[in-house]
Amino acid sequence: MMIKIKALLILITFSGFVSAQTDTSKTLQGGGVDQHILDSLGLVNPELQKKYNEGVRALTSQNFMEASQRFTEVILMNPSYAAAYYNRGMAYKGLAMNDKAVADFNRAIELDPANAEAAYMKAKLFEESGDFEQAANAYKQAGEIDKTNETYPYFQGVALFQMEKYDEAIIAFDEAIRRKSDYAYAYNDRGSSKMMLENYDGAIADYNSAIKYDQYMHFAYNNLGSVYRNKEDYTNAEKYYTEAIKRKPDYYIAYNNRGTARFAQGKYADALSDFSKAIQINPDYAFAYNNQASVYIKQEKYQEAVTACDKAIALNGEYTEAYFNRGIAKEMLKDLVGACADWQDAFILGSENAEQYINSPACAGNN
Amino acid sequence: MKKYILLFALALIGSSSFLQDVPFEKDLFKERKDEFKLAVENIEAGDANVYAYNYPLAVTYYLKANAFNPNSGDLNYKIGLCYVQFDKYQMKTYFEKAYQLKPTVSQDILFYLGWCYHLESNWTKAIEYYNMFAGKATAPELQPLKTEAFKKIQECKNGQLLEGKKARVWIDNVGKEINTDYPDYAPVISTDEAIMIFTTRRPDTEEMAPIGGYFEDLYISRRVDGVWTKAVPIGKPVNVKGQHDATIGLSPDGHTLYVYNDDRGNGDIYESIDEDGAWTQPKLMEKTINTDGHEPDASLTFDGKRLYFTSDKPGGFGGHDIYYSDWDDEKQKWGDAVNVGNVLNTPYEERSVFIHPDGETMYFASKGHNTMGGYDLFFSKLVDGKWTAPVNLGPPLNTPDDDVQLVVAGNGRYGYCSSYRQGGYGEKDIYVITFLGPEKPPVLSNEDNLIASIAKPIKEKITEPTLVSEGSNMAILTGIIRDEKTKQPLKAQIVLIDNEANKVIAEFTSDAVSGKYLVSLPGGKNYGIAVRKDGYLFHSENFVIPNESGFRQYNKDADLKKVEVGQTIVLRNIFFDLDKYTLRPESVNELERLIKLLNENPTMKIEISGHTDTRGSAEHNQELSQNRAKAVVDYLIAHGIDASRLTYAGYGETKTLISDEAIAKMTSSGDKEEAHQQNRRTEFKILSM
Repeated sequence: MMIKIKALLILITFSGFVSAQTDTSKTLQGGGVDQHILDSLGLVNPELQKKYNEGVRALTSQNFMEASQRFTEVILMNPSYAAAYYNRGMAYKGLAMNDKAVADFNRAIELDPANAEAAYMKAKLFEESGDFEQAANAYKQAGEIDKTNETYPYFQGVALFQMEKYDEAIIAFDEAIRRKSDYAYAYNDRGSSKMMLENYDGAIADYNSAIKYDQYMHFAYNNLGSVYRNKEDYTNAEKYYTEAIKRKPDYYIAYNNRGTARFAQGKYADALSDFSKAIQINPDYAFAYNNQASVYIKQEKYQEAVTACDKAIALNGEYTEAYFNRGIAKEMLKDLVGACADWQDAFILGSENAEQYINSPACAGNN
Repeated sequence: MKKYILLFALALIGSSSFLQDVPFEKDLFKERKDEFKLAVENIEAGDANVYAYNYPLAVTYYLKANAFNPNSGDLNYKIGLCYVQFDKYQMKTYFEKAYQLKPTVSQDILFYLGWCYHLESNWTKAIEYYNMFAGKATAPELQPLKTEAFKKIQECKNGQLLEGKKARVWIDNVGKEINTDYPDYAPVISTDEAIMIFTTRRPDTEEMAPIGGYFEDLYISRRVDGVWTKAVPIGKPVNVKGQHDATIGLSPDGHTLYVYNDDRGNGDIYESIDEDGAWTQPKLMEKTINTDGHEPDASLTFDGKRLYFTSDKPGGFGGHDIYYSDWDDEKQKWGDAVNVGNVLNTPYEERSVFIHPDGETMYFASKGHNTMGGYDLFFSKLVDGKWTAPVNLGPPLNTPDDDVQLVVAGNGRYGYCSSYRQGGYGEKDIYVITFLGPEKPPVLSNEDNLIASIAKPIKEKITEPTLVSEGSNMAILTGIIRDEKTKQPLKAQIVLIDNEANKVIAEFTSDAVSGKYLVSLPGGKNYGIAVRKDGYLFHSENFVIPNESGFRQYNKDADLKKVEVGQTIVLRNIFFDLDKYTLRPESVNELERLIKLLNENPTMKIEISGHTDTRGSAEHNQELSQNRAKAVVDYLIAHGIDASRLTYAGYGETKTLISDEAIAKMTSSGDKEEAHQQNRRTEFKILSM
């Protein structure tokens, strides 16, 4: 849906993110200034109008430097011109001058307290720089300015989720759903928050709601499968991963996940087939190689396990589990020096179990 | 369909009836009189050797006769019976043929056929034959064998259950430096696997015994850089030419050897001590241990205070039982034997007892419990002073045949046994068992599109499964004791103290030649270790070995300092409450050692100094160290040391043994904590004599 834009502003917004469902991109609203409005505001200076329009054109053509200069000139002529601050903020954003952009968005809000878009763009800036706390605050600010827009609380929830503040994320998603009762994305993400809090039944209900409102949402099926896998209900996990694959036949993540559900049921051949399919779709998918290795370990095909782990590690040199598993396979091949070296690497990368292994008698004198 | 089955059955009957029993009767071999005569002579020679218990030789005669007439049910049966005595895996061929040729050859052939299948782990067929035998064995003389058949049926049922509980072990031949074409068996090891002593029947140093090959001798091999060196005879006085000398046990530190000798006619335990690199004359152990019965096994606990052994003396539960005897410090002799009870002992045989130096695990062989055939290896744990129900170590370590002996290294990962296995060097060989511990579960990775508006998937957090500690729950402390200045090895006394119980657990000595020592430290205790030698200041170490902490090996060399002015010693076993200067009760032993030293040197004046680590404020550390040093001096004065001989000082964090820079470079938090621990200490310094 389109973000509501204040009539007085001439906006150019650039969004780094385009969601499949929620179109938050903005387009240039008109090419110039309505003289009547300007007159009503006392902005009758033709020079200001000229520079403002030049700024808009520069911004449209992504000539951010020129745009920032033009809007600066406008601001010098009229320091209370909120739209000029907003648009200069957009120019600064284009120039990756984030601090200046944030300052301009804040000034725009100061001058025009109803400018939810300025808060939203500020949130995006924070989000892009990985500052989810500030992003969540800015989304919250946007949502408080515009109490009807469902995307602001939704993105606030997303930012909170990324901070692993799942309880707070759920509250934000609740608000998004209150504003839009068929908001499938919000149901999915609230379900994910609940899954992270191990509220599996709540997560299942939310994912089912997401599917109800968007039956093609393949990842909601995948996530539903993962909840069941976490509940150790591997039959249902397998079922929903299969549903995800039906909706997106090249969904290698779901193949990988289904493989792990099958692995947990001892269906090693089927699991191997799924991991191989994931690799066929995405040959750079390190997880599937590691998981293949896990099957090979169970099948006592230790050399194959080492080879699979080698591939996983070649794709991701900091892949803790692949080092850990390769250590297991090497031990069974009686390569204790290699096994202990791999567990040492896994330990350095954060595996506590690997620490126990390197301190075990197997590694005495071998690491 | 039924018609085809009937035809197949008839065909089988037809083919079996083709094999006909051909007895050794003159009339049947009229055309081959001379060959027949020779064959009969061979049978008679075989029979004579059977009466002389020389079964291998008997078989060679029987086989010659069998080559002349392979279709005698009786002869095939006799050959099978001989193989029962010395090579069970050969008997099946002959018993099967004997039964085919002459089902009535003997009722017990059904028992032996059951045993043949039993040894192949063909449980169902074995049970079938044992049951057939039991059903037909009505003669009174067959009743003992019938009882045995019922036991073996149970063993097969045990085997069926144990098949699904295979032990995660590797079994590898220890190699040609130890094993030969001849029987090599009964290995015993020091707990750090530095020494292996075993029994062998090789011709290098011995002559032929009346039966069974060469006389037994003990050989020794040492492990250097993880590799066993060429085994050599342990030599006199342990080995005696023309006499069987066999290993039965070795103390964890490798200095006390138990050997078996039956020169009194009933098999007894002898003890030999490694005194400065030479083994003493094996000495017959006291009557509390050796009796008129048969005592073939012995194992000494880590502290040298209890000897487990086996005996078939009257009064047990049946066959050989496991007993123990405690060392009486006052009387300086072994106490009365105590039967370990019927949790471990059964009406059947219990043998090859081995007490692990973790102080809580016993391995032994038994024909009772849930054996899958003959002797199986079991372990039991000592929990709250009671032995738990023995656990069968399972296949492949246990087989339907006899699996008799196992010794396990301190680390719990490696064990040693001997057996006859395919691919060996010939006869019995010594094998190393690697206990792999619980299966190591691989870790899988998942990710999901948890956030609808973010295309990048989110990796699921890995919750690592809780692992059980591998290996045994103990530590081994090894090292070399030397003179600080000359670096010459010293024979010193090593006292192991349970600090919390304030009790001396064990005393050892280091080797005079090498200065080496080895002490086993079972988990769950705070150990004080004091190294003492006349003319030297004592050296102390402290080890806290928590329960369930797995296995650790420490190496601590100790350079003893002569009693001279200016010498400084760290008192590792003086403890204070956290951030306080109250002496903890565990400090008593160390303080008593210090008092003894001061009493032995009445003119000695010392300074007690306190030191802290660098955590906390310098002022606080200074005050704390000062107070702690004073607390030690106060104790000494209270226990009769003249105050004029004592001074004290607190140095706070100004004299650390390990610098902050060095600690900062350490990667492991455990190493860092250990470094801080080293810095927190109490020292004494000799000011004058």
